[in-house]
Amino acid sequence: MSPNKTDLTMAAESLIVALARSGDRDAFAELVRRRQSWIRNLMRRLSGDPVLADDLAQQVFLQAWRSINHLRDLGNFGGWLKRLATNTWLQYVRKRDILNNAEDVENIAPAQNDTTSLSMDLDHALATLSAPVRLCIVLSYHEGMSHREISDVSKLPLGTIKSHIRRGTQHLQQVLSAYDTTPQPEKTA
Amino acid sequence: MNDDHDPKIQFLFSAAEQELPAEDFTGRIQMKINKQKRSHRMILICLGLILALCLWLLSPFLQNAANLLIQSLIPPVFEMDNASLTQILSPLNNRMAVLALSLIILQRFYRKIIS
Repeated sequence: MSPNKTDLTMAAESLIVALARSGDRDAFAELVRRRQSWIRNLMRRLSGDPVLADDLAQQVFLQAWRSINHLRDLGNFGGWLKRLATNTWLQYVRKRDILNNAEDVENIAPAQNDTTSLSMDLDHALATLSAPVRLCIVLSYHEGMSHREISDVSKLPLGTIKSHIRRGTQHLQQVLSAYDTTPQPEKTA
Repeated sequence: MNDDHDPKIQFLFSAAEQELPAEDFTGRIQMKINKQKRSHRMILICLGLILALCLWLLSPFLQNAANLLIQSLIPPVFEMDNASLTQILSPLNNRMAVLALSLIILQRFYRKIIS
């Protein structure tokens, strides 16, 4: 018998993953509910476009549903999903050959002091970076991935990753300098 | 965490993280999964029907082929004079049994090499 939705919301993730692997669609929906915000935010940071980000996030979850049987370590669903998300984004950019374009898109995006628009300002600032620099910056700051991990998933050389992150950080410091003088922004709803 | 992380940028990334509403998004994913499941089932049904049709159309040829195969595999390997002994050993004394035995030996040998 399949557990009801209340049971699922209380259950440990590894248990829900096991149920989803056995084909339980409610269990998978619970996994989507728990992880959607994270993956959508990651895709928003990477693409800078909420609509495209949601489309790509959908692709990630559909891919996860199709290949959840390949997940060996039930406790590492998050890491596995992150890898799927990164690969989905890389496939998207490779199709458009964006990764070969290392030029910055624009020089400066206006920074605003309004804390509620921080998310948009950050996306605008990220949009001024070239695709490979943005990828490295987002994986590093948003996902907390090490240089080596980023190199593994993006197949870019380690030295390039380091220089992209250094360059991207300097650029973001410049573009988002208005936030230096403001009080610490609160988390937006 | 990397050494060249700027704490201010790191803070901005954390602060920009929004809790996005789950209902619509989850509903859309469920809908797509259900749609995929339905089309997968339809494909399986169609393939089953095609297979059944092919088997029905080819049944005379398949039956003939099966008959020929059985006839070529049943004859005894060793001819014996004693009729009752022939009867007792008939499950083993035929080409099919020799073929099956050879396959089993080959499989064991292969496993031994692999391991």
